[in-house]
Amino acid sequence: MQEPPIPDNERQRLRALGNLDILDTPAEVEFDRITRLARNALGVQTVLISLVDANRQWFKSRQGLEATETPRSISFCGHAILGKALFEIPDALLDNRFADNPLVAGEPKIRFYAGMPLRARDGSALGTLCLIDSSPRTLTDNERTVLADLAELAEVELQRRENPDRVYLRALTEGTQAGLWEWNVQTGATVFNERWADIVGYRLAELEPVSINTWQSLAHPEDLASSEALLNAHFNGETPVYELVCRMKHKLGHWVWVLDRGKVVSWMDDGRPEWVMGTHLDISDLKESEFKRLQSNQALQSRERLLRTIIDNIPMNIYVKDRSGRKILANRAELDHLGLASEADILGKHDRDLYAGYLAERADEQERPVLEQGETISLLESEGADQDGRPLWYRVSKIPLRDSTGDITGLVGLSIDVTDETHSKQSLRGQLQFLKVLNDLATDDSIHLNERLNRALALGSEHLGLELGIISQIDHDEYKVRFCHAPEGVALAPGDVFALGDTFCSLILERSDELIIQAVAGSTYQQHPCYDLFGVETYVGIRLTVNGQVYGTLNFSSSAPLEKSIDESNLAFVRLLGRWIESVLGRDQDQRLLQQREARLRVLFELSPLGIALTDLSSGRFIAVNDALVEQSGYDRDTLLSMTKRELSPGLSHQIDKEGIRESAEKDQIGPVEVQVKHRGGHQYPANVIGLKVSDADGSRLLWTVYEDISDRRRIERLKSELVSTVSHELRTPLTSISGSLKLLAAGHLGEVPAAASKMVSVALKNTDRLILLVNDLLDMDKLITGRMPFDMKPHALQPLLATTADNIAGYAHLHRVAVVVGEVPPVSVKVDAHRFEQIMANLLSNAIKFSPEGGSVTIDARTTTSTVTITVRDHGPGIPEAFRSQIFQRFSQADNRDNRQKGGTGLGLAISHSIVQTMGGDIGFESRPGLTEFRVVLVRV
Amino acid sequence: MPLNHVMHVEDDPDIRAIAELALVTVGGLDITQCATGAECLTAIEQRTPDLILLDVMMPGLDGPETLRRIRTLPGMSEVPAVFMTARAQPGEISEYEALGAIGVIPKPFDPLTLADQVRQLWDQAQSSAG
Repeated sequence: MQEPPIPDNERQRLRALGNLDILDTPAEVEFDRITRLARNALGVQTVLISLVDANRQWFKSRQGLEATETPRSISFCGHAILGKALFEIPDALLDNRFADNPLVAGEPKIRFYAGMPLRARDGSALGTLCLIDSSPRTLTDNERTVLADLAELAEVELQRRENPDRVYLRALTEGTQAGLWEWNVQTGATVFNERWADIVGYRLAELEPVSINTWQSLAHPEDLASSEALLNAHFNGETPVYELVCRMKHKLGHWVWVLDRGKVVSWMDDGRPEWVMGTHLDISDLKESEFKRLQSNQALQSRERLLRTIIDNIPMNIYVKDRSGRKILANRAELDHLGLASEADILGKHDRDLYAGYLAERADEQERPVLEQGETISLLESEGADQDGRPLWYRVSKIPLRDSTGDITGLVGLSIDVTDETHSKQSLRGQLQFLKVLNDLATDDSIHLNERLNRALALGSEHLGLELGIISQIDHDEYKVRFCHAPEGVALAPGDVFALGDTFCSLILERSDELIIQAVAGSTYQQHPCYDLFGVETYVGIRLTVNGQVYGTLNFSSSAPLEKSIDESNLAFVRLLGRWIESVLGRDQDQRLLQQREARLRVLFELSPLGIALTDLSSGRFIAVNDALVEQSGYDRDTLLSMTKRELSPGLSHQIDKEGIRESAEKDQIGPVEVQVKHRGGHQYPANVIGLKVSDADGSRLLWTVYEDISDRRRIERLKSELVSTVSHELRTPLTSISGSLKLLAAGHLGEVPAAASKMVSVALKNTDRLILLVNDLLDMDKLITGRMPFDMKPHALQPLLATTADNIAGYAHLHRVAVVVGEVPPVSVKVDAHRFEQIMANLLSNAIKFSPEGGSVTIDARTTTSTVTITVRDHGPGIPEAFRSQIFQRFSQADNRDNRQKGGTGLGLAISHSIVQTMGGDIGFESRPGLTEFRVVLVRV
Repeated sequence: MPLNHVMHVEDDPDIRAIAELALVTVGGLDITQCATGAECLTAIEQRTPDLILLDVMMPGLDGPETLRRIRTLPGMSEVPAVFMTARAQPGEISEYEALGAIGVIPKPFDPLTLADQVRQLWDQAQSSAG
């Protein structure tokens, strides 16, 4: 990372910044309005007015940032103030200077930065108006223009806070032998210039940080008391200036005689002195004996000579007038200005003798409050013209001059040529004025959108001198007036529709984004229908693009040719207005969409059958609850809104605490989790809850929670479980009787059964067995689905397990005349529930036997890997039909229903086997072709 | 000692009839049959059986409750008991065993082998007791 270098004029810069008395002051609406406008118009996360102090940057206004200051060493603005132009970093990660900056690598993860330097009147950079975003971005030319315009507004606002007296006094002493000091009596802030330090043999940097202690430690202890007394006398208004001859310790150890003079330059509202400013003059050269004569004429003359040299070499006009308005002093610059060779030519003369009558009258008017009330005035004055005929502009200050008794004896006039500055300012003034009004319009929420746009159009019409202003919406060939400002008597209203081709705006959409027509008459535009139909003589228009789509145009026109031509600055003005209108319309569109979306969500929220609540995460208070939650919990809405989440469901709050949702930056979701909710009636009900943490626009953390009352579901589950259990009992009892009777009959224990009857008995018996199997399978399936089938997982040796399954099926195999062969089984163990394993094998084996040809064989084999055991059951039946393979493990699936009746079975066996194997951590699969079907069960090897 | 006299408690008369055939005719055992738990508690005082075969689900006193009461009668604390049930879940089986049953026979039972199953349980209990 690269720390921002310190600019060459750093001391001057810090002094200019100090001059504003702005650091660590509260936010002010003038600045906040600008940052807010910037954020809205340019759509970035953060906008700051940052002032770069010695070791920090402090934010006078901030949008989208909590911190009030950050170290200068990691600041972007520290870099931005080095240049005069926009400092733009489209992607900080790609910039070596910033890629590893902690503000880039960590929070707030800055990617985009654009800062426009803000300057004091003396040109030194104070800070920036800057845009920050966490996504990379490159500003468009138009956006840069908007940023520059807003920065200028901020700069004007900053410059307004410069104390003009201090600036001028400083300017007066710059380059002289006088050391300059400034002291804020209230805050203790102290400023010395280099010469001040030089008088006592130091460089200013050696004395820093400076404070009033710097002076006190260098002054002779004996002189401090008289200094304090003289200062107080001046503060109390007893003396017009503070003046003292005192000794100060030189760096080399000797004492330096200093003439210390000062004056309060600003007062607090309550009358206490604020800033005092003064000079130090080194008078050591005058010998000790000469001090006495310092008050004498000679000393005064010597001092006057000194001051004379100063004032004659200052590039500003200085003059002194007595009470009657006659000049008693004029410096070289003033004489040059008046075209006079010698001061003698001016002394004793009145303005009337020097200037035109109206100028003299104006001067009399201005000077009255100075001479009569002792006011200091500062104003901008136009006087004469340069050789190009441009008016010359002067910044004029007039300061009352008092004698030792405090009576006003005359005035000092100071005037500086500010022509260049004034011209550029004047051309800006109109635009600035306009921007201010626009800003007010933009930020005044009490004015409806339509009214704002109408006012903006009126403002534009007036500014351009074009009577008609229109915002049009263009859809294909249709030109629709959306907003308009029309002079009296012109029948034009919003909603009017024209053919696009009949308007000059069609040219904008066809060719370029902008069009200026100074005068249609006599130009190629004369053929255009717009001239014919509407008589448009002068026209300025630009394309409006809203949310990436062509919206229409903004255009101003007049049926009369303009006296003043439309220049680039007018066009810039229309562009700026257009960008603002685009942003207003865009925001309006966004807002409509947002409202629509919000309305839809609100309907969802209100009509949702699930309880929904919004709570404040830190206090747990409910902010909003929907009808479903009100109904579900039994409380009325107001009661619920006065409760906390913890009161409604301690279990949920506990879960939130446990998962650390409140603190965690990454985790923002909770659930679904089943918790108990306290019903108003005193009981609790089970609810399935999910929660989502969100941040509000103001940064507070909120939690959306959705409560699904599952007491009904629970009741139904319980009922179902009871039903299955009851049915199984109620079915099995008669089945026990039927199957028992039939078995006894068939076994001949009740006497000889006739052959025909015996056959029927065995049919009944076979179907009874199927019914019993079905009941068993249904129960198993139910238990598997509800997860209530217990599994007793233990390691079992595979060989005896398989031997048992083969034994168990032997009777059934014999019946079908199929041999069951246990093949190669390695001596390994598997982790299974033995009873369930037998059930799977019985299913697979009975299927294999069922589909084997009479006299065929079914083989059981096993092979192993290091972690698994695969058991195969192979038969030589017809194979599983292709169409059936995909659903073989689904419930109630059998290849053919007719098959069912011939072959027996419930259609649940394989589905049950599949579930059981999976629950035991294994897998089941098959391969089949006519003549060979192989089922494979993969189990975990111990 | 071979199993001789079995007391069978079962509320369903049809199953009683089949069990009688299965145990007496097929199995050659001597049995006393009761339709309710209460009846059993009276009958058992008349003649102490070698083994009690108890249906679990019965109106009034159910099987487990009947067994608990039998155990409180003098000299009945050790009589082996076997439950018959249509709800033979592994969890329930261990529950019955905890009540002092030596085994559980699931319904529907096979009448041709019922006596053999009972004898087998009896023999196991005898050998583990001996």
